[in-house]
Amino acid sequence: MKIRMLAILSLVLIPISLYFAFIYAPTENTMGHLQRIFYFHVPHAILSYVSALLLGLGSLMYLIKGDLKWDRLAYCSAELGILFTVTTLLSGIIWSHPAWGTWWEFDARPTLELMLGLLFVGYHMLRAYLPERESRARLSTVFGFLAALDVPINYFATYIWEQHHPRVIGPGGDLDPDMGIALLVSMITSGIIYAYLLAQRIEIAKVEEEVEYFEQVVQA
Amino acid sequence: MKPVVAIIHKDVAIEFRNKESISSMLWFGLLVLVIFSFSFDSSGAGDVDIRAGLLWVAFSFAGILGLNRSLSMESDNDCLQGLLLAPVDRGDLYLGKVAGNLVFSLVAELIILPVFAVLQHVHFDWKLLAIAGITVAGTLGFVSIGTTLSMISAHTRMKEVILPVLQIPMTLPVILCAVTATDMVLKNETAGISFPLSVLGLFSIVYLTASYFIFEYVVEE
Amino acid sequence: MMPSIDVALKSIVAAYSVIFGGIFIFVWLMFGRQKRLEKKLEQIREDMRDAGKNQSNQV
Repeated sequence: MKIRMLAILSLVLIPISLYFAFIYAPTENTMGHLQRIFYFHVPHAILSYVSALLLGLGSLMYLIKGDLKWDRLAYCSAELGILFTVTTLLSGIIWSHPAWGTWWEFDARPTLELMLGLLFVGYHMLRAYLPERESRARLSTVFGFLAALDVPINYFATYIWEQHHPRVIGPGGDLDPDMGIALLVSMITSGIIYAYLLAQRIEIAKVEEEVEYFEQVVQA
Repeated sequence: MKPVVAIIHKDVAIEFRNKESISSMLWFGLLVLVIFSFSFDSSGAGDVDIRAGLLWVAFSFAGILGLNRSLSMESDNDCLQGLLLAPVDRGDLYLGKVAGNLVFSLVAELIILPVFAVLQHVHFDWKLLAIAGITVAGTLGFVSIGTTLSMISAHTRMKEVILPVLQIPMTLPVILCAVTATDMVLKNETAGISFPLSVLGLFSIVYLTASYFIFEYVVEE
Repeated sequence: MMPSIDVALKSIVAAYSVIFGGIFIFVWLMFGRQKRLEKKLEQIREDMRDAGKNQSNQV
């Protein structure tokens, strides 16, 4: 089964990526070994944005097509979104204190990540307060779509703030090519893990919905 | 255009009768202002000038109160059902409610503003006028998404509880930009103020448009 | 400012535990949920079977 394969692939890739992160990649000049947190902090941050994208896409598609499978994609991605937002924020906090002396600064990226986490949690709280399947899908997808729209806007808004957050990738950032390779490996690994978690979660969601349906039938 | 005006007229007429919305927003905003003012040493002599943030905290809390009121006004007595039976385009319904919420919030905020100036040592000059302008821009953004969210909340089990949970994260960009712009005005460092203001404008345009089209999904039964 | 080796080590262990621990906990909770659902499904099948039997007894 495809899901089983993703799980096995993940388990194989994890030790490989750890090798790349800790042995293959050189030690950084200014921060030493502490910097190695970066190899999973960055992919997890990227995956939290992917979750937001899937939430928005799934929500929009549900509103257009009316097929519940899109709503299912939306809420499963949002659950993964909570996981990856939390790991990004916590790993960022743990990295920040020894590296820059503070646990938290309201810089562009941490603020954006925090907002994303709050939006994912809010989305699930909304769903929790909607007992009926149809209205739950309809109203939470409206919120999910509008929330996903907020992410790029807030990205622009937080450019106003000071840029404490190191710009390692993209214009103005220089990255040792070996570090780049290690990052690529851990990005692929994290991506496969994400795909597995999403696929598995969606499968379970289908069973969940079936059970909910039968419970309502039995009550009637 | 006429249906939008009709809805605004209805909301304003109701408000004129008992003035509940404006008075509760006004009073709550003032109380928040007072509490924060004597909790923090705000002479500006300390390390951080918190005045801009303080103003927008007061506005945000008052704003949520106002949205909650408009929410309960529609769900009590099934006023919403009545509205939906009328041949009003859902998008127009949304715009009418936004306009109403905007007017009530602005009335309350523009009264809170001079009180803020007095409590927080702000001179009554052009600065206050500029801040009033920022207030209008920020409130528009706040209310554009808030109206949609309050209508979503009205359909849930615990209506008033869920609104702030949804509203506060969504309006983080609005608060951020409004506070930054207000802070720039207060400190007289207005270079680059066009950036937060344009983000405020972008936010309002995006959410007014998106909500206009999406509102029918929120209110359908 | 290069943090000392033991501080860096503690932080790395903490961060990686959070990252992989988080994934592990998620998987654990997911499969816990699956087990509970399967039990519920069984329970519902039982209920429907009993309901079916009662109906045929009554008839």
